[in-house]
Amino acid sequence: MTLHLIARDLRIIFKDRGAMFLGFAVPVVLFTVFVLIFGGMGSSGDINSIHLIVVDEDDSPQSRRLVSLLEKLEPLRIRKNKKTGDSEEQIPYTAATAREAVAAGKVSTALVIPEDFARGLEEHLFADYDSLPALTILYDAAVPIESQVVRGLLQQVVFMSLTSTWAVKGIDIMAQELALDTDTSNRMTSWMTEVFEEVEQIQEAEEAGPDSTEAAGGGGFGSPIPIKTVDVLGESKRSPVAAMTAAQVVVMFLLFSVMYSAGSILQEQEGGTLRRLLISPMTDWQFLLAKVGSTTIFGFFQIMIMYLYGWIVFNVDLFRDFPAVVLMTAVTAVSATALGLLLASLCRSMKQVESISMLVVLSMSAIGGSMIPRFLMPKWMQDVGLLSFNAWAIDGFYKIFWREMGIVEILPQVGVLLAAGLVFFFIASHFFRQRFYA
Amino acid sequence: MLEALKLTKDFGPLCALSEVDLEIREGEIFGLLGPNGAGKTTFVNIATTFLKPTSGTVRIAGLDVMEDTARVKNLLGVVPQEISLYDMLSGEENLEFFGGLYGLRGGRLKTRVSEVLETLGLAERRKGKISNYSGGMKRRVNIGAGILHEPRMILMDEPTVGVDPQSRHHIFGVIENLRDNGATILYTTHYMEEAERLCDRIAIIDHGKVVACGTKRELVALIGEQSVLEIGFSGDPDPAVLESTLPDARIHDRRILIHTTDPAAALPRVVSGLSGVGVDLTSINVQEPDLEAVFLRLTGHRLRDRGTES
Repeated sequence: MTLHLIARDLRIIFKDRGAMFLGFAVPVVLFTVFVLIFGGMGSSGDINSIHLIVVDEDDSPQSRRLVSLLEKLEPLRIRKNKKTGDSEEQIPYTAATAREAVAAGKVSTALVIPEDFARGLEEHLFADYDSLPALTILYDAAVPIESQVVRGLLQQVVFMSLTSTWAVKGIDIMAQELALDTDTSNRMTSWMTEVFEEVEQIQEAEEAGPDSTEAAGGGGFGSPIPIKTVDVLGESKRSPVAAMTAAQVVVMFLLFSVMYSAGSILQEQEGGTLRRLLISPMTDWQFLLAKVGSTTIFGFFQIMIMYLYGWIVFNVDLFRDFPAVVLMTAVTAVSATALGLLLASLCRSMKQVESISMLVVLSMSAIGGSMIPRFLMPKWMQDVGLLSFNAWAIDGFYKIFWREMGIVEILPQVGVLLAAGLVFFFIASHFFRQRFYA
Repeated sequence: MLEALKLTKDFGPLCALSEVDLEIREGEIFGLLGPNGAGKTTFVNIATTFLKPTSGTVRIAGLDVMEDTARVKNLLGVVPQEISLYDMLSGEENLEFFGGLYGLRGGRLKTRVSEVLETLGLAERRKGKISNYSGGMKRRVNIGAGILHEPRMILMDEPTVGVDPQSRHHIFGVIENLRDNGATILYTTHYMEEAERLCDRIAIIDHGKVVACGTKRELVALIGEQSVLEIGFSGDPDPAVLESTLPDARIHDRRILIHTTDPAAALPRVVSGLSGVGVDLTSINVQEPDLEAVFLRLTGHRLRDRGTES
C-alpha cells in the first residue's frame, strides 16, 4: 500500500511540470550563477584592477618616488590627471576633485600626498610621529575592500620609499641631538635593519600571491608615517550599511511580490472573473493598464514603506532628495510590474508563474547585486549583471542614497528601466490579447 | 432582439456550431436546450463578443456583435456558467465592482446593489465574504452581477448548475421577474424541466445544430403529440431482422423507440415481435410527450446521454 501511495505521489509530481522545473532546474541554474560569481571572486587571475587617484600636492622627489612605487604595483591603476570637458586636455587631480570622483563612484579610492610631505618627513621622522605629514586616503565605503587593499599597499610602499641611507642618517641626527651613546645608536641602527628585513619579507610575500595584500595591511607593525582614511560618503551617514542594503533588499522583494501580483491575471483566468471582465464594456487594454496600475501602486508603497522603516530605524536619508526617491521608486515599480506581466504572459498557470518567477528573480538578484554587491564580482560578471533588472534599479537607488545624487544623475537608470518596462508591457499585452480571445 | 444567421464556429477539426439560425424576440425568455457539448456555451461566447465566429453573424438590437462590440457590451448582461466572483470580497463588494464596470456610480450604484441583494434574498448576508457563501448563494450573486445594470438583453449560461432546489426555485422567480420587467433573456440549459418551466420559446441544439425551435406546444406537435415507447434490450440481433419485425421502430444504442398514440396497445405487439427474434428485454419505458420525448425523437438520444461541454 505504501509503495502504491509513493507511486501515486511520484506520478503526480512528474505530471506537474512547474514543480519539476522548480525542483530540478532552479537549483541547477542558481548553483551555476553562484559558482560564476564566487568562483570569479576567488580566482587570482580575475582580481579586478583597483583604480587609484593620486594627488601629489608636494611634488617633491620623495612624493614622486612614492607615486612611482605605487605605479609599479600590479593591482593598482594610477590616475593622476582628469579630462577637462570634451577635449583631450588633462589636468592634475586636486584633493577636491579627487574627493568628487570618489563621491561620484568613478573610483573607489584616492590618495592625497600633502604639500609639506617631504619637509615633514625630514623634520619629524622618528622624532615626533604626531607631527609627521599624514597621507590621506579618500575612500568609498561601498567598496571597503579596495580601500583596505590600497591602505596595505601604501604602507608597503611607504617603507620602500624611505631608503635605508636616509633612515640611517636620521638615526645619526637623532643620536647627536639626544646625545646618545654609541651602544644605543648601534641598537637603533640594528632595529632599523630589522625593519628593512621585514620590508623585504613583505615584498617577497607580495610576489608570492594575493594574500600578501592582507599581510601588508594587517602586519604586525604600523605605518612609519600616519595614514588618514576618510569615508567620503559614509562619514555623514549614521548607518551607511543600511543605505546600501536597503536598495539591494528592496528590489529583490519588490520583484517577488510584483511577479505574484502580475500573475494574478492567470488567477482571474482560472477563476473565471477574467472572462466576465472581458465581456464587460472594459477593453482589454484598460484591463491590462489597470493591472499594471494596481501592481505598480502596491510595489511603490512596498518600497516606500521599506525606506520609511530604514529612515526611522537605520537613519537612511530618505528626504535628502525626496522627488528623486519618488521617481526612482515609481519607475522601479512600474518596470518590475511590466516584467512580471511578461513572465505571466508566457505562463499557462499560476503554478508556472510561481516556479518561473522564482528562477528569474533569484537569478537576476544574484547577478544584479541584490545578494552580493556587483563591485565584488569579476568585471565580466558585473557587465552581465547589467542585463538584469536589479542592477539598474539598485544603481539608481545607490546614486540617491549612497552617492547623494539627484534626479539628473539617475536619468540613465530611469530611462533604461522605463524603456525596458515599455517593451515588456507591449510584448506581454500582445501575448495576453492573443490568449484572451483564443 | 437577437438574431443569429448561419453562425458557424470551428475549433480546428471540431465543429462546435454549424450554420445556426436563431431569432430571439424582445421580452421573451428563450431557451437553448441541449446536452453538454451541444454548442450552447459557444453560442453564448460569440453573442457576448468573447469568441469570434468562423462565419455567420449575430446581431443584438440591430448591432453586429463583432463590429459594434463596445455598444453591444453595454446592452448585455451576462451570467456565466462558472461562478465568476472574487472570493475575498463580500457579496455587496462584488456587486459594486461589477456594477461599476457598467457605469453605475454613487447613489444609483448603492440603490441597485441593495435592490438586487433584496431580490436575490441575500440582503442579510451582504457583508459576508463570497468564500463563506453556500453554492446556491454564490450562484445568486453570480446572477446579480449580470443583472445589476438592468441590461436589455441577458444571456444566462446554465445559471443553476449545482444549485439546491430551494435556490433554484428562487432563481426561477428572479428570472421571471426580469422578463416581466421587459428584459429579453437567453437561457441555456440541459435541464428539460427548466426549459419547460421558464422559456417562452425553445431551440433544441445538438452537435452544434439547431434541430428544432418553437414554443413547447409547437415542439411537441413536431412529434405528433405521440408518446414514445422505449424498450431496452440485450444481445446482438440482426438489425435487418429487427427492422422487418418492427417497421415503425427506431433502433439506437440497444434501445427501440416507437412513437405511438396508444402505447398500451403497441406494447404486446412489440414484445411478441422481439421474442420471435431472440431478443431479451431489459427495460420498458413510456415517455409521455414532452421536451425530452421531442429531443429523443429528433436526435435519437437522451439529453443526459453525453458528458462533455464545448
